[in-house]
Amino acid sequence: MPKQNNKDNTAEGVSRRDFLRKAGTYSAASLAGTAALLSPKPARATKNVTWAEHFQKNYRLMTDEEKQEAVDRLETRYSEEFGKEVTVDDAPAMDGVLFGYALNIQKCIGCRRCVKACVAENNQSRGENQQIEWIRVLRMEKGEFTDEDRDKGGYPEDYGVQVGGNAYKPAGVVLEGQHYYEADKVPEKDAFYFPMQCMQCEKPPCVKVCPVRTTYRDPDGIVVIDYNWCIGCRMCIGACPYWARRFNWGEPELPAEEMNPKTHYLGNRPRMKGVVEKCTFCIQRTRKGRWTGCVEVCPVGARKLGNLLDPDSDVRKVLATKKVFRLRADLNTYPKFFYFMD
Amino acid sequence: MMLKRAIARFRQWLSPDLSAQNPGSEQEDAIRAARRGFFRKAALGAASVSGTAGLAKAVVDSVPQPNLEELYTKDAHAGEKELLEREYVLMSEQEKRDMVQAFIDDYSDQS
Repeated sequence: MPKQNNKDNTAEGVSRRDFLRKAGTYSAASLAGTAALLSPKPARATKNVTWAEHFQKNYRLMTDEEKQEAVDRLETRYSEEFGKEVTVDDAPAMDGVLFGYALNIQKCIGCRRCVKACVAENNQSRGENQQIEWIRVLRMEKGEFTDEDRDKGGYPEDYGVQVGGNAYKPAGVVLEGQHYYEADKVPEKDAFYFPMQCMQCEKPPCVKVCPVRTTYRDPDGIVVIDYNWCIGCRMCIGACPYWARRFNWGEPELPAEEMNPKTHYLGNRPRMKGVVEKCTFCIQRTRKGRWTGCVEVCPVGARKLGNLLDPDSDVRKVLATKKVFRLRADLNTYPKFFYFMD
Repeated sequence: MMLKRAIARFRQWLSPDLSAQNPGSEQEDAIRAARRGFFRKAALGAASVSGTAGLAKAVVDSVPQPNLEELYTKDAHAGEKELLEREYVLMSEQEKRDMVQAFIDDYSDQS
């Protein structure tokens, strides 16, 4: 009977049902084809992303089993993508540890080896177009900085580092530096260097503004990011008073042969387009009792990492015995990164 | 001989015009007509899919791609501007002691 009906319909024209069926089929096929053709070329960081990865929970809300599943998935994916055995660690914060960092600005020679080591250790994007560096070394004109200057009123007239204070401004130094200086030889005469990176604030403004709570402060004081939950709104970038966060505008460029296979879920695992990243005090190292890459590579020993809860740690000794500076102390963010002088 | 027969059968299957040479039943005609209809639909479907996709791709490609270098540089300059406003302040002995104590207290509170 239906065949007969069809024949009849064909003779008269096309029935509504047939027309709708055909239209539906063609539309669905067209949409599927369009989606297949328009989907971007499978980029390294996205080609093997599984549905499970898309739908996984916020890292903090995962059970131990779910965390293990997520880690296993990532290890498999990264190993395939980079052609080497990649491990994704999920070591939690150690008990009784609160990380602090101190940097001797008198010793720093501006060689930027820390920057290079950080890029290599933490799988940051490289290349001319989309270079990301978590550490930024500022070059500044040398100026006087003494206790006596601190109490002087007003600012000196010379351009460069300004010393002093008045009724409206706290005494201190106003930084005026250069990024990306290119010196033939460091240290340069009449210059000093000021490396900056995430200060791992005790009261981090970036955490407060995150609308999806993907960035948070771990018990050991390190502010971390779950890249899978980052929506790329850049609110944290705007909130950070130290300009320590970086955004991946494009798919990061990370050559397979340069990829560091020892990664941490909340640290140096490969990131994707549209997420924010920043220094984590090399969480993949420090949670295993190792120094950060920058501390290890510094040729003059200007960098000190330690446990703020331990009175015998390097950082506590620096705080007890040296002249210590804090950036933007007025904001009450309680940065755990200190600058000091002998 | 068998090969010739097979080729003839295949040609007949491919070309409905040949059916005239082979007088078949009405049922065979209906089958051929259905087959022809299927191929016509398949061809039409493929053409419409690729046509739509091509058009959509052309539209998407015509949208200018973001200049990544500019975006990254812009971020760097934004940071530079911010850094010009930075101040660092020498901490007094008391401030250092208070700060360390605050860190220790915070840690004790959370654990």
